[in-house]
Amino acid sequence: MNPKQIGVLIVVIGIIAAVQFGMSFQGKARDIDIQAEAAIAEEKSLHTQLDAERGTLADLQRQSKELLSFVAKWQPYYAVIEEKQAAETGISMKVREAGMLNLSQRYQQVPHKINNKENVSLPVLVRATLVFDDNYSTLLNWFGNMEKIKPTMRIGKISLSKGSRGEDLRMELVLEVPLRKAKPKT
Amino acid sequence: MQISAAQIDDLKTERKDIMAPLPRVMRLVPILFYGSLAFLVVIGSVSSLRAKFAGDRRNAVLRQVEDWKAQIVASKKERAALEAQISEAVDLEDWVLASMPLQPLVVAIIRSMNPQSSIVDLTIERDAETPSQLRIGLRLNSDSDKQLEQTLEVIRRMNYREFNPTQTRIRGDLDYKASLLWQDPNSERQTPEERSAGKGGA
Repeated sequence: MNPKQIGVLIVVIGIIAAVQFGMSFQGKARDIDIQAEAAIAEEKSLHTQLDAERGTLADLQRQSKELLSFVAKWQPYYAVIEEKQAAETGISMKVREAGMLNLSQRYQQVPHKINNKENVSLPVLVRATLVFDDNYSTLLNWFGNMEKIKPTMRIGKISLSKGSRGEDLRMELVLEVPLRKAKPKT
Repeated sequence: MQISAAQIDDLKTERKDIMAPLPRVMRLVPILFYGSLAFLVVIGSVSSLRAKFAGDRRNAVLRQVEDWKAQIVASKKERAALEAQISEAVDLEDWVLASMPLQPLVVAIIRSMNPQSSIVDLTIERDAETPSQLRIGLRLNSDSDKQLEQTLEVIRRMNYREFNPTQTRIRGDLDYKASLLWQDPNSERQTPEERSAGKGGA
């Protein structure tokens, strides 16, 4: 190979290198373009997802508004009772205050289910079984009053029969107080 | 001293042309070389500009993508919190709707008695699995069946509907058992104040 041919070869290599270099610039630009297009597609998809998410949230807020405002009125009554002891003390104090003839008091804690489904927020019921033998009107007024002053408490069972004295009634009453699930202390 | 041209010619040694001329087509090589340089400059500049603009666009979009992602996460978090709140509210509502006061019903049953009739035993028990349902057991000392009809009428007026009733006579006493269903407990959502005031329900 003579020097002329070598010179031509070097120049040809230079040409190829220049073209390759130019093509690599173009390829790099195209890659960035593709990345930008992919990012735009992802952004569009995320925007759609965000719109859907916001829509779901708004629907949920609209649908639950009435329920939440209803329950908000009851929340303070549930908030105060989280322990069995508090529920027991509340009931036994009311029994003492009434001064009725109380034959027995028994308290137990039972799991709370409604329609066979566990109630997660009110997982436990304190069940107070009280037996009284007293005047008819005193007993009925007392348990009616209990239902009024403790609206979250309910009567699980009431059984009325003839009492030990003339006009007296024997009343077996099962009071149920739901205990709210204790919130983790922060 | 001057040397003539003829003498110089004489000094040259006789030799052959050592390099054969390149083919004529090789004249294109330098043209192509300059062309490739021009191509490199033009394409390089255009590509660099294109890459810069695309990179800026990509970065801006990626920032937007991050923003959307953060907003989606925040919205999902808010939805999860709301769902937890709703779940808790449903639990509390289930209790409220299944804990209607019983005293008005008991009083109404007692007041429905005629002077000739008396209650031997009255038991009202909430169904453990469906607390909006009650089981009533009423033993009456009465000469006529009209008393029971009268009492049931009072119970119906309190928005309870009886089902699965059974009626037997035991040693002269009328023993009545039935389940009572509070009609449409969802129709009225009582507030604690309304319940305390004794409005609605039983």
